[in-house]
Amino acid sequence: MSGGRPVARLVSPVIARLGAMAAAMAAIAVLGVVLSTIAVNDLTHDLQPAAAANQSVYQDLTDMSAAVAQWGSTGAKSAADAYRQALVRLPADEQEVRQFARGDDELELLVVRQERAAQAWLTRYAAPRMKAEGGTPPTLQQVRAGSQLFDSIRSAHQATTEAFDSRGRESSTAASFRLKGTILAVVLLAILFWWLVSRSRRRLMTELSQPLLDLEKVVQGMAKSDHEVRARLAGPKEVQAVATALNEFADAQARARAVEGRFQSELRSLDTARDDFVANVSHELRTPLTTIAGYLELVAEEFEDDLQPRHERMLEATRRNVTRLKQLIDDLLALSRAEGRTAEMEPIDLALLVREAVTDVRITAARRGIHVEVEVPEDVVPVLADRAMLHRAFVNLLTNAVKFSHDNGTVEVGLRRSGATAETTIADHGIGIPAAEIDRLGTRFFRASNAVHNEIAGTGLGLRIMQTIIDNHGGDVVVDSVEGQGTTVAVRLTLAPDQLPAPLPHELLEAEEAAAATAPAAAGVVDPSLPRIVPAFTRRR
Amino acid sequence: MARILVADDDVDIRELVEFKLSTLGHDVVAVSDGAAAIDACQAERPDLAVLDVMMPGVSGLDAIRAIRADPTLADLPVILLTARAQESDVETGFDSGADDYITKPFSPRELASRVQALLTRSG
Repeated sequence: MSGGRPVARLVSPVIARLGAMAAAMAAIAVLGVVLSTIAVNDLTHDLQPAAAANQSVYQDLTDMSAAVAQWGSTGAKSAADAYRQALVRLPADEQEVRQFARGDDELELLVVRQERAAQAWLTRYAAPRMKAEGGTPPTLQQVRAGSQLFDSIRSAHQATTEAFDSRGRESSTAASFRLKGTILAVVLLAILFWWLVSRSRRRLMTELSQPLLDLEKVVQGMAKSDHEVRARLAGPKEVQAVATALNEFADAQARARAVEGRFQSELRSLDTARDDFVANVSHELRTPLTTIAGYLELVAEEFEDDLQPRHERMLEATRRNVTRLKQLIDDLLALSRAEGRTAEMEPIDLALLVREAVTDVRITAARRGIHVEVEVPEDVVPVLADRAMLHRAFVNLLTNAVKFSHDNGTVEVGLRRSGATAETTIADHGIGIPAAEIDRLGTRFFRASNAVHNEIAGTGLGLRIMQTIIDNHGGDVVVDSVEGQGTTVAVRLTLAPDQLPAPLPHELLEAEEAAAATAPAAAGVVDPSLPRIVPAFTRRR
Repeated sequence: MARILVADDDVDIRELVEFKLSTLGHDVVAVSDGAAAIDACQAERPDLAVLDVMMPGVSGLDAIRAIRADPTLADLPVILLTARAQESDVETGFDSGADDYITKPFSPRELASRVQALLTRSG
């Protein structure tokens, strides 16, 4: 089980912190606005009306003072009315001021002082003057007393007004202070928020992104067949789980490679063992065969003149079968080599190879009056091939064509380029292959019934060897045969780029790659109407 | 008429070669392994040697190398007999100093003509 914290546990504290910060910012903003609003409310709803009421108090007193003066000089009724109206207004205004001042000791004191001064002026000067007859001028003494009393009102009022002004200034300052404080707090929080975000980002980078990026590098390494690379167990739980799975996968791959390697080496040693076995068997078979054939020859020589025709026939049958046995051993050895050997490819001239193979069978053909017509290009037809093997394949095909031809017949050999392939055709006009047997062509030891019937010698391995060799070259063999009319065999090989005679190693490699790439395409050009040799036959390495 | 050494572990083949070459009038010394072949070459001073490649102990190729290493035998014509017909084996045979090479199964007549040719060449 892999360690580490899950991604959720890694991310959730970050989200929680950021959420808390956002909530705090919102709360502070709301609080700041509320406090500022309260301060402004204090100013506009309470303080300003109270200050106005305070002014009204003074106004009332001033009105009364004017009314008293007018009453004293004219005794007009309007003066008495104005006095009475102001006297009625005064308590209400004083009440409002007092209410506002309640709780504020300093202001309360000032207000009380102002009320007392007003009361003193009213009782000792204004009221006695209004009680007197209208039009009675005040005595000098009265004027002085009234003036003194009103002066104390004025000074008390001035103090009260200043107190109100000071309260107003304070309130205004508080509101603006709260607003600024709020803005400052929000800005500070925003900075903190930003710092937190970037710190979390860095942390997520190191704890989440980096392990993931490391994993990506590991996967890329694996894709480039770096078998040693393993993922480091780091980061969140999920990433570690992926890393563990990746490492297990790589280990499984390594084990599979090891097993495959063992298989390969076992296959190789099996191949070697088979080659050795075949070589040994062939040696062990050839030695007695040499003895038989040799003594047969000696006997024939010793009794050369004493042999009767029937003895000649006996010796001839023995000789023929020794030859057949020798051919069989040769073919088995050749087949084993063709099947076991990885072809050593080199660029060769197919035209030259075909001409050489024809030369090899000309004598045998001429013995039976068979003419071999060759139509092969004069220029080089380059293919990648194991020269000796491919030569053997064509000799086998030509030997068959000659063998199954009628005496004095013709065998036609052609070679032409067709796109990326070189097609060699070998056609005879001999006994052909019965249609029912064509599918069995190339099966080991298969011999066509008409060949057996006509006592045409053969091991039944020649075609098999040829097909195996052409397979090793990535080529195709197509057989078209009509019994009694003849057989045409077409061999298609992929053309190599012109690079004869001595290619550079990288060119060889490229040619091989090109051959591998075009081989399926070459197989695709085969005419489907022509019978292919048995499917088991066309296996590719 | 020449003295010829024949070495082959298979008694029938040894005798076959012996018969054929004796019929032609040669004096044949036959041995059955490589070590005996080397000894016989030094003791009998043959004019030509026919050696089988695959012999137990000292092989034909080893025997040729030993013979060529002896200065008095450096010019001895040697024919190798083998059942292995691969090109690489032929090359190995010539590299080790064989003058000719005959693959099994061979015809006694062919062997005789090769022997004659080599004897004529070496004088």
